Amino acid sequence: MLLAIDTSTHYASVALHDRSALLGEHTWLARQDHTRTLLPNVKRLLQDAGCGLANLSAVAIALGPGSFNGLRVGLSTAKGLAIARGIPLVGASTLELIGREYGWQQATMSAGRGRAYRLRLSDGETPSDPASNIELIDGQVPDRVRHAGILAELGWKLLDAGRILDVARIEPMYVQPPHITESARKRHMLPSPQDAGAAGAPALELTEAGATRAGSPST
Amino acid sequence: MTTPTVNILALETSCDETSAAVVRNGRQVVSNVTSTQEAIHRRYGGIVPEVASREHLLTVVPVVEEAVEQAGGWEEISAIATVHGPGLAGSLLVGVNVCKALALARDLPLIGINHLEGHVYANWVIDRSTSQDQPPPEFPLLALIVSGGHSELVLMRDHGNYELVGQTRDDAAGEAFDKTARLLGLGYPGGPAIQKAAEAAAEQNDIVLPRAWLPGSDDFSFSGLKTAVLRLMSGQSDADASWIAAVAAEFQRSVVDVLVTKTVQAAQRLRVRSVALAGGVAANRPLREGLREALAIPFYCPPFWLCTDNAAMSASAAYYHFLQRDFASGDLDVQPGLRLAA
Ligand SMILES: [Zn+2]
Repeated sequence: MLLAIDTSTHYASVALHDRSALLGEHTWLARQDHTRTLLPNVKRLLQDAGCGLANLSAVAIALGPGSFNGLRVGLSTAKGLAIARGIPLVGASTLELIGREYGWQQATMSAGRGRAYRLRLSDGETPSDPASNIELIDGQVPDRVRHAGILAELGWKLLDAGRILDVARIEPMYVQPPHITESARKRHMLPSPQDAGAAGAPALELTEAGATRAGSPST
Repeated sequence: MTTPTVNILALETSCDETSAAVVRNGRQVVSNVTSTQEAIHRRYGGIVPEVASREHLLTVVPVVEEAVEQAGGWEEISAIATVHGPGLAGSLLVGVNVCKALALARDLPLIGINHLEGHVYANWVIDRSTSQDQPPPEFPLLALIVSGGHSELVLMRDHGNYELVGQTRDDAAGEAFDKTARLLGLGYPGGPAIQKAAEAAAEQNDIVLPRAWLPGSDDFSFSGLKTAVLRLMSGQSDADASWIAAVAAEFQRSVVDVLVTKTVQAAQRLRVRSVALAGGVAANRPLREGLREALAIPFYCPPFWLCTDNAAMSASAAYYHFLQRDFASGDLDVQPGLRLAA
């Protein structure tokens, strides 16, 4: 039994696949609510399939690009499942999943600010290093729903090909480094602008392309 | 009748420390593994949330696996506890989602812990470095929680029962330390930097900083102190090391004076049986010593290794939720602004 998880964008999807057939799939509009909604959807999927976690033999994860926090919710969950059951983790670029579902011409997704990510593939095969094949181009592209059944099917192939991820070290495909600007203060620990002037150090803020920032912490 | 052994695995990722611990029956540390990002954030002079979140996701697996292995494996674990607030949203979500997956995959109950509650329960954890008999604190208890984000006086009549007595109206105590250390060019984090500078100060000096007593209230205020330091600095053309040390010492005296005096007054008025110090600023020696000297009732403060963020304290707090069968469901969310008491 393989569980596939994709929380790359506002749309989220989970699927259960027993290698020969798709046993179930849930796809929903998670918006910014991935943490609250992911696990209940996984539970429901397992229940509907009459399957316990003890039957699980692998987890497949969509690695991005996408919303930084959305990707981290999925990967944190996948890591937890993998270490608790001692099962392998496999993964694919979210752009590859879009390409497989919508056609390779459509392997694009929004990067925010009027730009888009595009995955260029020569033969439609899973690239060995997809992150290095991702381009940043100009243009608006739609936020496409992805169905995790496709990831589940691909997951079995990756498993058979021995393309197992290092559960400890695997990160989402952030593509863009954390962008640190000298603008508004972000956190209480950082000085207010007048302090910053006095101390000669810039305040920091992180911006994330293509994603709405979550409310700033109050602690 | 013997109490069954309850080993709780807790994970704490609320800020810049990734920590996992297994604690037995609420007090005995079986394992406590922490990976700190302090060196990464120091160059920014504070915590950068996106960087913190990325680091948690990279360190969480080895930290959890080490804590579980030291405890004898997954079969030994009775429940999973996760800190779900307050803290940085992007950091909290790593721990919360890993824990939800662990609880599901091991078919164990899940417990949601408030980070501040964890700090208070650091006072229940048995300190392995001493051989002394360590009875648990007695209720009613007054807790002074002081950290980078908090300065609160909380009354506990029993386990899990929190009543807000007083809180800061502006800066938190730890925040005041960080900002003042930065103004004085002493570096980050501010607490240890100011304490160290103050230790080098001469006994006598004529620097006087204000104390915000806020009469009739158990609240605190520290922003005026920072402004006063700023004013002192602009009037001083040759701020040498000894002058800086004197300012640091007076700043620390001012913060400690206010915290100690107001805590003692509240403890007397509320007729509590014990007082506990909690949070990162609990590592400040003058504050620990000042409270110990001023209080006539039992006073608790965690050993230094339990003052900074760690999962052992959260696992300890989780035990009392476990006894109440106070479990969280799969839709547990991160709550960056979670409060301990209203
Ligand atoms: Zn803390």
